[in-house]
Amino acid sequence: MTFASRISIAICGAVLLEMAVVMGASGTRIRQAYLDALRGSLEARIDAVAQSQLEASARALAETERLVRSPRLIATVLSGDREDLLQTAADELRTALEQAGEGAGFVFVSDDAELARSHGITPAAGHAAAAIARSVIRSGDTSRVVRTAAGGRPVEILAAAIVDRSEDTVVGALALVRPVRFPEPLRLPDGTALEAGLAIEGVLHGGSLPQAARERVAAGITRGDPEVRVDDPESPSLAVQRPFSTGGGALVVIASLGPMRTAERRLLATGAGAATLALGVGVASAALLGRGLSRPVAALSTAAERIAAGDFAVRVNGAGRDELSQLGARFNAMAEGLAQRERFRRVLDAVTDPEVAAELVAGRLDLGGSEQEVGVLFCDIRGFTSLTEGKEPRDVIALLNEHMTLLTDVAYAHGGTVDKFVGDLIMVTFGAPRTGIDDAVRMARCALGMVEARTRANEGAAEPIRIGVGCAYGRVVAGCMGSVRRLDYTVLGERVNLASRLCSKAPAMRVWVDSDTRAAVGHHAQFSKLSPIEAKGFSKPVEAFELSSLEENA
Amino acid sequence: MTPNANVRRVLALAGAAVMLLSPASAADSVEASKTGTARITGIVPVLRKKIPSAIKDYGPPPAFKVDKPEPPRSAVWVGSGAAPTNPATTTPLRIQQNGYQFRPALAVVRSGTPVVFPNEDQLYHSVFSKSPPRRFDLGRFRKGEEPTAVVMDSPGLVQLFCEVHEHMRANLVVVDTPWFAVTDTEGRFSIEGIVPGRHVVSIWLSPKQTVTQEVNLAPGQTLEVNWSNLAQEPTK
Repeated sequence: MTFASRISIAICGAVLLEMAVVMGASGTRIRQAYLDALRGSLEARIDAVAQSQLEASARALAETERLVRSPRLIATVLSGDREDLLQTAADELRTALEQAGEGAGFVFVSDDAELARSHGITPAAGHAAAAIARSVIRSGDTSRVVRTAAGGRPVEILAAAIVDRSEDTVVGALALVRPVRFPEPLRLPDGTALEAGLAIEGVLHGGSLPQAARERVAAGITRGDPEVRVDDPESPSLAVQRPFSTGGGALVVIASLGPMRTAERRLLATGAGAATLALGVGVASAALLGRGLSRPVAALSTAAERIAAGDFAVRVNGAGRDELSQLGARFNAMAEGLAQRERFRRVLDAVTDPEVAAELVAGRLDLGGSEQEVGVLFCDIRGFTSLTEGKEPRDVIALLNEHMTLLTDVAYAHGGTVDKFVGDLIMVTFGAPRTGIDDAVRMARCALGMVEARTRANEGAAEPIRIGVGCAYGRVVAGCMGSVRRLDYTVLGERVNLASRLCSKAPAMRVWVDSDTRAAVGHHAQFSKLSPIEAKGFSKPVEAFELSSLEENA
Repeated sequence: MTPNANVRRVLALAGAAVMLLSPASAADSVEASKTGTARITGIVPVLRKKIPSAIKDYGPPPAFKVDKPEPPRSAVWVGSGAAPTNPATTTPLRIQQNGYQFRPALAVVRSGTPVVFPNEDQLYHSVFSKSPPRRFDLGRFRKGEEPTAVVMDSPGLVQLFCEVHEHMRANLVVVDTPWFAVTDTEGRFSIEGIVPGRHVVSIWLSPKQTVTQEVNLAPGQTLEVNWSNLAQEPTK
């Protein structure tokens, strides 16, 4: 999985988690705040409604009590004239009846009979009113207020005893019936629709709640809950109640929680939108971030690969202040260092034998030496002085370089170590610094190769160069010589001198070797024994052989 | 058998016994027969009425003092069926409104008698009746604004009200006989000039209770009766 996708997933996860937490918490808080505010409004509103209901009730009761004391009414009741009684009551109660609206009316009873009943009243209401009026007579109370449901409709019955004060006898009772009505429509300042109702005897009257919700509210109010919440999805609502201190029943005001639900849904939609947006931004920024991360990394990777392949010229973007840019800058510095080292190595390879250089760089060659079996080959140009006579030094060097390049290639081709150039002479060793397989054979082959290469190069040349080759094989001291600060790797010993002597003695285009070489190469080659030669530094004549050919697969 | 009939029977037997057994009664009867009319005197119950527990204060100022209502009395009349008297020649009955009470609070008049209602108080009064024998409404009037007289043309109880003062009440018993009386507060009464013969005596005790007695009066007789136990169970 790439960093970009990991970052994307992390960002998306964080965004979703944050949204869930924020929306969950703020949803709850918003709902709570809404409910608190609504409750406050409802309490205020129900108090106002209850107040107006009580005031209307009190006004009606005052009218009723005034009427039952009226001499005109008492005179009418005493006269027993039913029509007159209806007319008198209708006149006297006109205001109260008008205020109570349709369905209002009154009933007169004596203690054993119903005296009169107004026309606008339903039979159920009239029956209930007569019963309450009679209960007032029997109880000896002055008046009584009762809220009840008559024929399924809530009514308020205000009953008062008619007392003939002159005789101090109760001559009857009057019951005024007021249908309970609520101001409509009720509305909170924010537009939330309210409904008022009256809960009587476990039944909620008024309002437009569906039956199930209505029953739940009625049950809660009967239990005495100060508020009832209905979470019915059809009609979510909150109801508060105010029981009437007298007369029974409780005023109920119900607020629809629909607006709250709408607000919640809106919040949810907004939140979902915001989450989507945040998610989009998150994914985009994750992609950007990821690309910002993966592109430099990919570039570094490619560059490292090229450096591994030896291309030290590669550079990555190192400008910038972020970590990857710093890494890029360090990478560039590293590449620069590697390039530098590679340049040093080239120079080292050029000025030293590559194998020696490798050993030196590897730190395996210390100052001082070790004795080992080494083949030493010397090759120089015959008649070099006459060859270079009259030539510009530059041309001489060009001539030498060309010649030495040719011989060096041959030496390397046979695994020789080019020890040094001295003038027209090249010294090649085999078996130093590392003792190899067939050092003597490779030397012999190299010597013949040099002659062959020179012969081929001389073909058609204006100035053919003729060389002589001398080889010796045996124990020498090989090692770094000089000072710690400036040293050469070379070989020293009698064999070296012998090779040099053989080289100088050998005729043009001939290879002379010592007896040890011959012994080491063995029967693979053809040697012709020479007469022993006097060599400087050797006390007695040295055996020498001319090498003429070598088996191909020796 | 109604209680009244029962009482009547008992009293009739008692009256007969008195006439048979008492020589004094016989002498009285003889004396009365000289003038040709009989007289009935005696005592009837007076129902104790509770004084209304609270008489409303009719403030605001100027406040006024409501006098105590008159003590209760009863009314007695003898016979019935007489034609109404001629209002034009009959002295009107005066029922005053005085001390925020009707005075008298109980009166008996013969049908055809005009009644006047002078206001003796400083504030408005009204007088009206919704009683079937005589419905009227004089409206409100002040002292000196004496409304026209009301002729009580049919017998029966006429209850008088003042619209302004709910406690005020008067009972006017209109009878179709010239022989009637209102008792004193003890229930004593006396009615004279009665044509001898058999008569029904009506005793009005309250708007709800009137009892009757039968008597047989000889010319010149003074019949003394003691009907003080006549009242039934006291009214509620």
